[in-house]
Amino acid sequence: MITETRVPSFDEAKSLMEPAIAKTLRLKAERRGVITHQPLSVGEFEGRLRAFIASRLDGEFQISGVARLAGGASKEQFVFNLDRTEDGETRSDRLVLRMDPPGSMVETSRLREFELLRSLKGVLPVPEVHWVTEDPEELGGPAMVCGFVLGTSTASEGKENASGLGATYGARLRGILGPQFVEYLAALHTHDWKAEDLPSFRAPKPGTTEAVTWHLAALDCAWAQHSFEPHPTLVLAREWLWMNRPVVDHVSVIHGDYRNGNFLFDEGTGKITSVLDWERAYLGDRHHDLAYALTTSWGEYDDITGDFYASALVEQQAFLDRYQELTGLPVDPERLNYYQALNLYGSIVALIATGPRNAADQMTHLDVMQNFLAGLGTRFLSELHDIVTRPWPLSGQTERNDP
Amino acid sequence: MIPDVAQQLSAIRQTVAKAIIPAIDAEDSFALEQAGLILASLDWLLDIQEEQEHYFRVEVEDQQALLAALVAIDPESGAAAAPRSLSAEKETVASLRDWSKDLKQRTTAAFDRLTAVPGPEADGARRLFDEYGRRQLDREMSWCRKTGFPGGSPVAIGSVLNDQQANR
Repeated sequence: MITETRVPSFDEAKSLMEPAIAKTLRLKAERRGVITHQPLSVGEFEGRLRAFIASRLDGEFQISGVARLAGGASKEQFVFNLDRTEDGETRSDRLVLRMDPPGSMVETSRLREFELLRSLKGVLPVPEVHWVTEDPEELGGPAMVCGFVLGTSTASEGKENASGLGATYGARLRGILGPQFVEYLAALHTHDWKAEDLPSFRAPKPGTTEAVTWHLAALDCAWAQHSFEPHPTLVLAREWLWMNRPVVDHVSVIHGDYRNGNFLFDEGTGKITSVLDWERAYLGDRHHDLAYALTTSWGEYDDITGDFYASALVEQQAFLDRYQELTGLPVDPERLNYYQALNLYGSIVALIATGPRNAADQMTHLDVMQNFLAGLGTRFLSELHDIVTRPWPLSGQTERNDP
Repeated sequence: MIPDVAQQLSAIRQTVAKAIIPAIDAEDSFALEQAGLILASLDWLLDIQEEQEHYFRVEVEDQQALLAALVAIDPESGAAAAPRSLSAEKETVASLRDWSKDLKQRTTAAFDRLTAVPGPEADGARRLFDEYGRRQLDREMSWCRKTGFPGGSPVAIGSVLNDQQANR
């Protein structure tokens, strides 16, 4: 661990973000007080969608079956059928459009998501991407069109876990899904992203704190921009997080939200058909995803053995052992602890600042939800408070790499 | 005044549950999802709305005590403000909310000054924020208990506030 002697101010943190993230937050700030969410009927959306696709496809096409999707706490999502002729062959696709409302719980870039999903095709199961636009005039907000993947995110034999926050799968499916869950995470973290076309991503240098610094700075800026008032837990947490930033040894693609509920699977075969929700992805330390998958709130304690199953899928130590075996990359307990705190901080910023701010400013289609989820933020605050008020880590000082 | 706020909230909840939700197309999963959240939010409001002024009053008292403790560590921290005393006749929910926010900003500024240099003053500031932070978390967990997210079984917010005032 590197121990710092000073926490940057919120103004200083602004200059430390990745440019693409800084742009999304800047555009959000410009929209506040100017643009509110306007409900879009399915018919109105279909008209815009038709024009959007017409500008990108040659030849005739048909759109049908347009419907708004439920679920999710961030983007507006629609599903539709697209029939067309391509290279002389008839093609029929069921597609999903993910669109930014004026305010999301986490402000992210559809272009980044598009670039990343395009690069991960063949690495692990992800939706196929088709088109992306950053121009809000086309559809109402920045948007991405990707393939609709068959599968379910919940198991009929599953139940809510003790916290009510995580999906469980039952013993049969757990045994089939669990190995895939670890294998795909290992594949993601060992993927050679340097060979990919990812112009929206800034590459941190291994052996430095750049990855965590840029990410933490973005969270700080979201807090500064959206919070209503200071919170003592976050005051303590900011200091702890800045002053204990770890160096990254191996830079990986980080999913940012890798857990139960964020993948689809075939309930009959237990095969994972798609990993979803890539909007928070960035280049950084694998311990972010590991800590996230190990979060107790969405894990499951076995009724008989009492063992903890990470993401209700794999017993915790077995998860870490198998991950290390597949990747050849070590798991550092100190970094796991750090990223557990960082993940909580990021979630809390979204839940008690950005979400309620979106509702207050009428920038979301999920007004009631984004206030209601503040209750979850309170739970996470309590967990974060416990971490950052434990005795300070006793790591030795190493050479600093200033942000 | 009849109906009061609690009566109105309860009636709104009943109407949404009995008349609005059944009329939503069963295929419109998004609308059904949002309507369910409205019911849950109304249940939450019914649990807390009578304690809002009490909540802010306790929070102001807590923050005043925290500020005084921070100034006691280092009078030069500059956190002191002109003393104000809580007066039931003068304060409204809005004024208490604004006062609480102002105090939180002052205590945070004092923390930043005290922790700028490592040492016993910084450690003292952290211990105070730990202690007062936990009190705030106890209030918030109780306040949000009807969302279902806080772990355990938080007691009603009125009990938490009364206990905190009694045990200061």
